[in-house]
Amino acid sequence: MLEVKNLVKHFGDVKALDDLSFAAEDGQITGILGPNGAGKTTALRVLYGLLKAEEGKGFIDSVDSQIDPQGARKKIGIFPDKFGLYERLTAREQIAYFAELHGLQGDALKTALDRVIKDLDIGDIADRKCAGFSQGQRMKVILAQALVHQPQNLILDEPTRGLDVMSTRILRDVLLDLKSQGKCILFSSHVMQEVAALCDRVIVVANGQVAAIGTPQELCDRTGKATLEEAFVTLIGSDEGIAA
Amino acid sequence: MIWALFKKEFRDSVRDKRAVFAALAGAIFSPLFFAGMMTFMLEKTRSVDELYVEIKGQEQAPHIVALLEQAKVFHHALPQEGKTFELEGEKKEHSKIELEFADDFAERLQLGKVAEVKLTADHSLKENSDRVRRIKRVIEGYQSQLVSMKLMARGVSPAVLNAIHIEEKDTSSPSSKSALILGMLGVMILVAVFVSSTNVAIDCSAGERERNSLELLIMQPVTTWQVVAAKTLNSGLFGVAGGTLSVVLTAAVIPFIPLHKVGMAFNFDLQLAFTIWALLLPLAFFAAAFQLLTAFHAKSFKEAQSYIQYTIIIPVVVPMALEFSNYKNEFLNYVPILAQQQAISQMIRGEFNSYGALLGGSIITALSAVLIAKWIAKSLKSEKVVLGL
Repeated sequence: MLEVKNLVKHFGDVKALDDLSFAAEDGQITGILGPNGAGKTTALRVLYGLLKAEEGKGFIDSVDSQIDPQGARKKIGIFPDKFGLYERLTAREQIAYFAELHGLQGDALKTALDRVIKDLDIGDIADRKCAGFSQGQRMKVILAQALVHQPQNLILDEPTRGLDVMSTRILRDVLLDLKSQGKCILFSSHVMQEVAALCDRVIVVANGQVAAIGTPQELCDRTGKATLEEAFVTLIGSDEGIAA
Repeated sequence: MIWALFKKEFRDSVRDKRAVFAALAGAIFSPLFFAGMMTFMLEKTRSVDELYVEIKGQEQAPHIVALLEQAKVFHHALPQEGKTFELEGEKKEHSKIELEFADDFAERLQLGKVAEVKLTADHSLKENSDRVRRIKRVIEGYQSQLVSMKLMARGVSPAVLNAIHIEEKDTSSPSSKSALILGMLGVMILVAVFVSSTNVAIDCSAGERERNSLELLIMQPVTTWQVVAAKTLNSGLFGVAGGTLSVVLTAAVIPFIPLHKVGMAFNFDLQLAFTIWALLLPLAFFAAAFQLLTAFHAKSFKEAQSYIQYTIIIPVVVPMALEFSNYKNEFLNYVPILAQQQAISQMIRGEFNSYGALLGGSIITALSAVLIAKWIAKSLKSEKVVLGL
């Protein structure tokens, strides 16, 4: 379970987070929607313990990430928005590196590697150097390294960007499978159909604040719009929408 | 944890052929360059060049011609064209200077009259002023001898001619020049240590950030200190490898430098090599930390490269300036880079006496490396550095 409470953060004069609070529950896929600069990435960075908030707290499975960032990060897998692979390492080495950073060693490491390589069906590229991988292959390697230590929580930042249909479908299947295992999945996206199809709950963020929370259907109902996209525009576009 | 980080960093760097090649090239280039320069310089200072001039009317002054030959000034007719001619199968350069004794030279000298000799040379050529002086010195020497004898024959002391006596001393003996260049040997080895880790340091800092993997790395359950320590160790190891190679090559190359020809003995033995090598260890990690600091604070890979080009001037220029100015101060033994340069320079000159200062300097260098790494670790907590804003 992921939770941020009353986050306040400034960058110079700009108020990036303005008393922002939300939670993502186990066994659910929670989406964060928001225009660029809304504070999504900043909120996630505070949650990782990468940034210090001026006020408020971030919890990962009830570990306070501002106090014990290392302990908190052990409980998450991260799929970052911009992903760089170590081009000179093989996929297996790359995944093993992240597994070791999470404390896996020896037989446990080997077992975890074999399992995640099998689960994501990347046995054919596991021992090739990452240079020259297609975007879909890269996505799988990044996903494997985020999941190799079997974290309870998975955070994905714009995961479908630049992926083709097949890769997107694979990613979607993996996320649904994890959800059925009772994991907590938080993902931010701009693709409305993606969010509408996958997410159990949507958190709309604008101007460093939560503009609305609910299932995609609830958000549509509340704004009286037919699609999530229309609902989203209404929600971030007017203050009355936020108050509702 | 640092081990896992280091293992990956090392594997990543070793597979980077460009970085490995740069490390090797830096280490190999300096001792070879040094040996070449040294040999060239020794050959030059060792022998006075033979000088070929055209001497006309030789029969008028056989004594002077003999004296000139002693001073390695030989007669040869002007070549038909160009500056070179063949002598006993060897190509020689003609100075194109002419020395002409007048037809009545011997006769006038005999009579005690002023005899004439003509010296023709292109004075706009820089090297000719030296050559002309050489020839003049021989002729003037002959003249003053002649005058002295004439005065003595008339019962006058030749000392009346010398109201003032100038005593000249040239302190630039070949061996002091060699000592200076040998001192640069220390600088060369220091540079090898720096150059060898440059590419690795840039690649795993600014490079890793540019490839978008740095941010993800520090989102893992690791502290920034662990990340920086692993990167410093890895880059430092490349510096150590470069330094080792450089010391070994220097030891291998020094016997081939003709130092004995200028009466210098320089024994680069195993003990000296090992002491210098041990001195380089803390320096290599200092250099790595220093370059990582520079690269992390640059906005991009390219910017890091140009910054480091400038910072690398420091370990070259400062020790070089000290070497040439011969400035000595106890405190220099405790400043990173300078401490190593001073110690190496002293060892090479055979003036080394204090292991205490050496140890002190090494400890301070190692501590500085740790402090710089701590500083980088702290700055990696700022968005500016992590994202290169």
